[in-house]
Amino acid sequence: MEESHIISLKEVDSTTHGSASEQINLKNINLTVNAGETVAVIGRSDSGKHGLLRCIALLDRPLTGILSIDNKNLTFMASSELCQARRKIAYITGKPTLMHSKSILHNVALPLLIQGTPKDEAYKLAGIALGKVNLESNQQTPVTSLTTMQLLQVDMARSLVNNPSIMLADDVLQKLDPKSAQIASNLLEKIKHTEKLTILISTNDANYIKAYCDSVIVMQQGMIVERCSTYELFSQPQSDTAKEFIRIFAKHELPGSLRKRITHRALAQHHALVRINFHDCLAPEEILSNSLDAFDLRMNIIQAYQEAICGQTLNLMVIEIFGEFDTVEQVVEFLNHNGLHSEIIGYVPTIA
Amino acid sequence: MSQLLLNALRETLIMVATAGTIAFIISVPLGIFIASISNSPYKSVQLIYKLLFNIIKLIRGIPFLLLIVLFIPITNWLISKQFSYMAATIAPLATAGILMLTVKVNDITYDIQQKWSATCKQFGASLKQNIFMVVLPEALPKFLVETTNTLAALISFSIIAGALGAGGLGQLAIEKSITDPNPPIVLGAILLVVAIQQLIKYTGSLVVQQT
Repeated sequence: MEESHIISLKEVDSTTHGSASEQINLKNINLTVNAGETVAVIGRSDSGKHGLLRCIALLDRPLTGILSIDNKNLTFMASSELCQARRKIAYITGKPTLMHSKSILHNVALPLLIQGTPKDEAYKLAGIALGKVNLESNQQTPVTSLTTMQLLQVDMARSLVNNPSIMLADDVLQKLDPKSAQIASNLLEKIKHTEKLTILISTNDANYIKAYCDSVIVMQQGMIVERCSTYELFSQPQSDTAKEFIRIFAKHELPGSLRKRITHRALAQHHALVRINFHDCLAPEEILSNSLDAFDLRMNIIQAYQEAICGQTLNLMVIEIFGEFDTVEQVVEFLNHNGLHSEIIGYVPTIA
Repeated sequence: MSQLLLNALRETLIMVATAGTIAFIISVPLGIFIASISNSPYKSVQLIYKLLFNIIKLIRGIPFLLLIVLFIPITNWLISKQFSYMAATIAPLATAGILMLTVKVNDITYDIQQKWSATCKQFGASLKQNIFMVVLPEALPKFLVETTNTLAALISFSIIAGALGAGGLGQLAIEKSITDPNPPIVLGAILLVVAIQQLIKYTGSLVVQQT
């Protein structure tokens, strides 16, 4: 029953030590991640994303609760065992701490050297790891003049030398420009497949989440408020943070002129705006036109677009329906019943 | 005249070089040790850290002239053991050097350990590995630069010690300006001191450029 859970947290509370400015406490975290999954952790700044990843990276010890990785309970552990366990978990930030007096190759080999691997072999493995992140050239150069992208690549390579099974990526895409972020995303995805990694990534990059993440964790004030598949996040966000995220980053935004006129109360001389989203395999036009015919209503499509999410297509539509509000509510109910997720998002005045 | 200057220069260099070497040998391990125990989770170790650090800070506050005065009993004891007065001066000089350099080494080590704490934890590095594989290679150039700074300060201190009769360029310059006036020798002594100072500082900047 729990065999496939590579990461599992039960009622974990934790505190991030270190810089006092960002002290976020994790409260009552319950979480399981399956092997091979890519999970995005989203949420506002200081919502505990960083703390969650540090906790799973075994950098912060849980105060209460149980943290197990690979079905091994790691909550109580001698420090020597803890060292062993940490090596199997890659934790990257995109801003690696590097030895400025040494070459890229030495920096990547450092974890191995610390474990006592002979220098030749450590360098060889480090070279292979650098190859995996497309950084074969200039391995001998000092690390002082690396670009942000190269820093990330070095960080990835260094975390890969121990053949980890989990990679925790802490905000690695945020500091990159859109093009580099795309390259980095593809690289991350490539490594995931070649190394058979489970990835937990804290990010607000909607493009990455849409393209590669299987599921999403939404965090708010140190708590997990939503755990859903990526498709669910984009089609039916539940929590406020998730809705906000969708609104801002996924551009599910109404045109400005319309947004100014919208009210949330059903007034006279107004008509309803309905947002509908549905799966690709349905026959939406038919259901929609049938229902409108049945209730004898007219409609006007304001917005309609498609989004590819994890291989599935999400269709979104905003329509205005002219007619009695009671009838509109019945239509919405009817549509929901037929697999078209709809909700009334507001009312706009009828233009004479 | 040149013979006088050369002898004095030799004495000054011996004093400063010996004191500097002793300071380096003691300060680097001591500074790293203090930095390493500063983050210890154990209360007793914390106490040792605070004690050591405050003692060093206190002694550092003593002006060098008074430090020499404090060392008079030790100096006298050394002289009674057939050491030259110059050799006996090395004790306070080295102490001053140790105090200066230890604080610097401690600061540098502390910074590096702070920066690396999460990463080293991640690598599963012990404190010993942290010191030998990360701190030392990273900090050695900085240690060397601080050592040249300390040497430059020790030159000044050796001049003060010279005024009290420890020999070297300081004693020569004071003798030749007060008791037995000889302006060219005084000028030569001053020029030599400035030249050594510049040379040491230049070496320091070379080390900086190398890294």
